[in-house]
Amino acid sequence: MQNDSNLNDIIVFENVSKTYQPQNDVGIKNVSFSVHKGEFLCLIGPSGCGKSTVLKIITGLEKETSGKVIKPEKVSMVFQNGALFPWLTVYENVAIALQSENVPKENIQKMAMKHIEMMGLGEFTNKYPRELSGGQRQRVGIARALAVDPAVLLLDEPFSALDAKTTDELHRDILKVWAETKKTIIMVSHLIEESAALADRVLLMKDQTIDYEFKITLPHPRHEQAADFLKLINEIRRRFFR
Amino acid sequence: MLKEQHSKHNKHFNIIYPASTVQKLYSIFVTPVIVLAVIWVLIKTFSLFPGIPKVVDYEIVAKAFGYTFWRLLVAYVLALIASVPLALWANKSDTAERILLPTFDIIQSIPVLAFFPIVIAVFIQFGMYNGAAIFILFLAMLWNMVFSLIGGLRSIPADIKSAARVFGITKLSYLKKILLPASVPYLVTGSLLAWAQGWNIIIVAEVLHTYIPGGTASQDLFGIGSMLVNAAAGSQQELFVAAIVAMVIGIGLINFFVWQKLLHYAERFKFE
Repeated sequence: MQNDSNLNDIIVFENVSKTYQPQNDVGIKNVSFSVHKGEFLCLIGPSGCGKSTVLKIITGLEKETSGKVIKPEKVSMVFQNGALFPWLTVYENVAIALQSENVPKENIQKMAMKHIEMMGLGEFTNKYPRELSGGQRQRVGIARALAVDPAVLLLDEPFSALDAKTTDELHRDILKVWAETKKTIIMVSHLIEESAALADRVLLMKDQTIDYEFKITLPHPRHEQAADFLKLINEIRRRFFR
Repeated sequence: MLKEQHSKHNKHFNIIYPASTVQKLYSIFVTPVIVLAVIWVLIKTFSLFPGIPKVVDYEIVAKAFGYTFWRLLVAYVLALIASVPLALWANKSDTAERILLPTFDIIQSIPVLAFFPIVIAVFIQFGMYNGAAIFILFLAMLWNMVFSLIGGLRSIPADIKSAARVFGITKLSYLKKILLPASVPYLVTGSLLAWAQGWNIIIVAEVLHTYIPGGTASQDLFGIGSMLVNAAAGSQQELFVAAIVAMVIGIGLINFFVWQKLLHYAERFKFE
């Protein structure tokens, strides 16, 4: 499955395992995959399959117990519930990520505002997270993650707490961001439809390891009622629930 | 909708607590007593009616309140400064918490009065009477602050901590930009409790002569606490009531102008 690794790979996992001592989180066993530069990869699987652990290893929040990991230094992440700091405004939430990078002051403002406006949040610059809707908060989370210009953008079930309409809007936003910035994106999701609608490639995780790989060649935008899309969904679903 | 109403209320600094039956009964019976006491003090202080002599000097009572407030403030600032490293220490790891929490709890449960031998040996012996009072107040205030702060640090969601690490907010800026702001709501409630505890213990802290072997009232610190005790001991009812009224009014004003506003301010630091 991983034979096609080459110079274009930005992340490589080779037989990576992680065990937690004590077992307060789900580990992973012998996980191998690679991510190409500019790719939109989706990790799906039932809860407890270890997909979030993969993200934690990529961010450096956790260290693998064994195996080899190649990853870029600068990765950033969009969290499930936004993980915005409630005492900071939208602007400050985005700028705080840049401040720890020794970016010159005038650049901080330029970069932060650029990404706030890119996510359509220009009029909310001085609002606090509690004054925003769930979708707007998640957009701030995306702006913050993009502002530091990461090599890889990680999304940890970023839309799972949102309603269907907002999720749909954010799906379009993230595809726009991907097209404009050409970033490598890795998203963790437990929704088959979501991963099929967005990703180039879907890795199905089961029992703490990778169970199957789906390559998706359907062009964007993907229509949820199109025959080949439904066929793909069924294919993933069959494997998912097996 | 609810949130809007809530913030609207806060804007005008209305009392937002719903009154329970106990609170209602309390205000029905206690309010008249306070009102009567205030009237009585006004009569005795300003000789509003001819023939009733002026026996209370309000300037001295206000000054006493000021001195006491200053002592509490110094003790509070010291408790605040000391509580931060203690709470951070206990929050460092699960092991640290397992050992330090019970330890703090045991120290907290020792009555302040039990520290008097130390107070005498360290402060009073060398004539540092204010130091002695501030130390006693500090001990009374410290643990409220420490436990509130530990609670605050524990309340920080895991994804907030992860976000801080992913975005390179570490060490000192992690303390300044994440840990302390996240603890603000808990610090405010802890401070409120600490001040309540401080007012509670002020009588003990200022009336030092009762603990000094062969002590006299001249060794007491001038303040509202010692004024209360010595007025009671000297049968100066007017002064005693005036001191109580000054405390009620003073604490009420502090509550209204400081704590209500801080509680409102702390709202923005809360996680949803």
